[in-house]
Amino acid sequence: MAIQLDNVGKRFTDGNSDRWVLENLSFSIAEAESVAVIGPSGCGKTTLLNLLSGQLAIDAGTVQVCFPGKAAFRLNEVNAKDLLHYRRSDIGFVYQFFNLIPTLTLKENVLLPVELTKRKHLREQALSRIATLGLNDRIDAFPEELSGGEQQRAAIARALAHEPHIIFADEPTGNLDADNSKIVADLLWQEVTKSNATLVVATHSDAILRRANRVIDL
Amino acid sequence: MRDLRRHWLVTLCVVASLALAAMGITVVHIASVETVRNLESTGIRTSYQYVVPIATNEEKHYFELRRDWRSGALPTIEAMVPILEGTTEAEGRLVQVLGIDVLADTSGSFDDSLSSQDTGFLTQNTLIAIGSDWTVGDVVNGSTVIASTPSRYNLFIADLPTAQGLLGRPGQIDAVWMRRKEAEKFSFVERIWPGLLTGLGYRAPPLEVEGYQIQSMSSWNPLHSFSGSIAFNLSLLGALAILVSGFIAYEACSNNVRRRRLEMDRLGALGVDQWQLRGTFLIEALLIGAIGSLLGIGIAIAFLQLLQLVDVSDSFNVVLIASFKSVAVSIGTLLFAIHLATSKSNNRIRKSIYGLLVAICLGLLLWGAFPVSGLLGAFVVMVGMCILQVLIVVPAFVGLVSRIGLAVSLTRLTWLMVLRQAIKQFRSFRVPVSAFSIAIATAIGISLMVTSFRTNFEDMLDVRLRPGLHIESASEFDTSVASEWEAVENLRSYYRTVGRLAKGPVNLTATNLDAWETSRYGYDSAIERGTMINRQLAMQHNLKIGDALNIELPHNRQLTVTVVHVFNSYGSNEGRAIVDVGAIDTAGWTRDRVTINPIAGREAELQQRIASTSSNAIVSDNSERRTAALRVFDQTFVLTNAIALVAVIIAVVGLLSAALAMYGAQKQEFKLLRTVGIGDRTLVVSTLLQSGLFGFLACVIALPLGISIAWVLCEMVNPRAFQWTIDLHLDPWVVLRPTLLAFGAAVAACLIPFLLQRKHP
Ligand SMILES: Nc1ncnc2c1ncn2[C@@H]1O[C@H](COP(=O)(O)OP(=O)(O)O)[C@@H](O)[C@H]1O
Ligand SMILES: [Mg+2]
Repeated sequence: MAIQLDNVGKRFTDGNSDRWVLENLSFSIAEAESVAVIGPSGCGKTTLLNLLSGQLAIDAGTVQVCFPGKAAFRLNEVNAKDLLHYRRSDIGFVYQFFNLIPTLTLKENVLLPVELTKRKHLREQALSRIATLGLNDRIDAFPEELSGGEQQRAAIARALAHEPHIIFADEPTGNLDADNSKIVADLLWQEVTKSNATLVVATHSDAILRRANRVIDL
Repeated sequence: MRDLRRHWLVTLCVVASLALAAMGITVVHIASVETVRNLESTGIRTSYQYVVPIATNEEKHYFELRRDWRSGALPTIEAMVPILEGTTEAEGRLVQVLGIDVLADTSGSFDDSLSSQDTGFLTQNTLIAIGSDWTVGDVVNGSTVIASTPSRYNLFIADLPTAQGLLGRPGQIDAVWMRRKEAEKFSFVERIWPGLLTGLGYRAPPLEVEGYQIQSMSSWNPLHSFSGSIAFNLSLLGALAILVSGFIAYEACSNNVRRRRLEMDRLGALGVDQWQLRGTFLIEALLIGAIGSLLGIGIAIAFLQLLQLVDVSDSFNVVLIASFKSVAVSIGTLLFAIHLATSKSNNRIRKSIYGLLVAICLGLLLWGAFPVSGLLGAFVVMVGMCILQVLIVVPAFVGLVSRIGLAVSLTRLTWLMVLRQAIKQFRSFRVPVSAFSIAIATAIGISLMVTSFRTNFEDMLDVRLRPGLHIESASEFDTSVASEWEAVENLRSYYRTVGRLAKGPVNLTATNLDAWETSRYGYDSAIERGTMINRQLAMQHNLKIGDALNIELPHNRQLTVTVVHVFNSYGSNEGRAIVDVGAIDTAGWTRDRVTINPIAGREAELQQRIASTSSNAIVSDNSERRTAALRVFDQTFVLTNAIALVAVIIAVVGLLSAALAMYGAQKQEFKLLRTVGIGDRTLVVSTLLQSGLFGFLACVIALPLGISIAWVLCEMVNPRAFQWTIDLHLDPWVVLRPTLLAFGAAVAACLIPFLLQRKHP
């Protein structure tokens, strides 16, 4: 079991009134499983991913995280330092857009998690993944010089560079045309499978839905 | 209105930059007017341009002159008044008295503190008291005070007969003052831009009347051109402040307008009438402009009042003019920004405009470098340098820094990010950085100039003003009696007249040019057949040491002397030559000044004694004169510092509004950095470093311009305006103080968006 949710809820405050965006959400995600989260726009997919990746505080329920070779812990109970460590080392993230740090080149973006986690031995592997993703000739380009598809592929390389346990992807192909969507989806699956990571992906795309082990409809 | 609230921060920035612009303009204006006023005991003197000393003190000479004038002999003169000056004792104090025949000149427009109405009320046995010692209703030596104006000086202004009575000199006059016809026009210019006329080197053209020596008032009132100089330098700073604040207000406004434009297009697409949109837009802009400038004026007044620099309450007119100026500038800037932002821009046209501007600037700089271009040229050089800073220096520096930044490879990606982020910010902030650098440079330049000026001036005072008493208006003073007094160690008489050189009249002074006297001018031995001239004369007549001067003296006498020394004088922009009294015949010269060196400790006693012996002598102590002169500087320092501070604040608001404009993109970036796993502490440290680097770069680019501005002020503006040079003292602290201030402020401005996003992640 990689992640287990029990009665998870998230509340947003609009002006004076509280609104529960997510309520009584309970499910679990197994090790190396790939899960697609679907639902109409505004139903809380992004919110869920942000909760699970430790970027939003959990207002109700518990989220238990458990990785091989590591003691299980509850996301809603960890201190700031451990949360930072979780975000830095245990997870990788792919957003719909704006994934790359504009002042770093593609290569530097990909290597940043390697540096932050001090996992120097992963450097070569990260570089070779850039080649696998077909970005070798764009390696010194800055994000603004990359096409949308290239940016998403670079984001995948970046998300996997430090060998995280879980990858969260929030509509990773949402900004791409059909051809590029397919390429990016293929590569995402290929690389995630290769590295044996768990994948949680929020999506509208059929190409991704079809590949998922399981679909959670919010 | 809803929109205003939504973007309250951006709107706040626009209002703040306009307010600061208005504040800068108001502060500079009021401050320079106040400087001029502080330097001069009364504005009465400044409304006349010529002095005709009446050596015999007979009133008939005045009637003679007046008859000539009525018959059309002096077509450029608008009015003339006989005056009498002296010192009287009142309640144990020595007070200067100025007697003026108020009926002779009813068109007189004196300065703001003393209108012609006031003097018009002067009748027999009434006084206007300048100075804080008397109030309306007091009776002084039989005369009633009918008006009083606070001032550092003590002065009684009285009707001529009253003054004659007070001084015990019935039927006598000392001089006739004359006013040129255009004086009214000039005083208007002075009101709008104090110091401009002095700065442009305006001097009343020489006036000649058979049988009289007519001197220019500014040679009698040297502090006038001196205060003019300071006011002019302040105004220059003010002009730069206006440039910078206009620039920044423009940036802030056009950011706002561009954002609004999107909205306008959208609303336009929804079918809302374009003209209606533009109308609301304009009204909104005017509202913002009005609020901004009113706020600025308010802050300026509070600021001046708080620093106790100016008593704003009794300078209503000045405040009004200052307010007008600032409202005009802010609204103008706003309208300009709207115009530019709503009109479509064409890249090719923009490029050619850029090239043309650079070419024009370079051409003007070249032209201004030649002395023939005069003060206007020096002015142009200053502004040209600032424009080139925007057009060339900053972009080139940004390019260089970017190239270096890209070439640098840091092993730690986090530091690399910090470095590149700072450079990127520097690059995208080109316009605010330019404005910022001009503001800082102006602050540095003006502080350096004033410090250098003070150092030079103090050096000059050290040699020129030895301890002792100074007696002006001394024609009546009996030196043969005084030199017998036991408290007197040393007594010197100074004679003056106006002579003629081939190119025009020259002010002449004659005294005993022994080694003691010449050392006051920085020369080392006695002079018998030679002359010392001031730098102004040397410049005006192109004279150097060794040249012979053929001077035509009154009574058809001739004097030929060699120039042995050229000295600096900061008092007046008039040329002056000093000769030994042994070389001339004093007939036709007035002895207008006597200095007495008392035996140490007996100054006060002597001062009393002089006043009681000679009622028309004006006695002052040299150490007081020195303090007074330096006090002016210190006041100016406070002002220049204050104005420099305002300039820096304005520049920082510019940076802040630019930083806020980038806020959206930055917020996203911070979010990304967090997800990648960069901790809060690292974010804070790297943002600090990044802001620090940015601030450092912004200050580095300001330094050369700052020093260049100081150099131009010292070497071009002042010599061309006042014919004196100032040796530039590169005092590191003077350079560092504004720079550090600016650095801190720049860092703060860049940190604010970061702090904001931390509060609302
Ligand atoms: N920071 C926030 N403050 C208030 N409401 C929010 C915030 N973030 C998201 N929401 C609301 O939560 C709901 C779910 O949003 P989101 O998770 O982005 O949906 P999805 O990704 O499924 O489209 C939406 O109604 C959105 O308006
Ligand atoms: Mg979403």
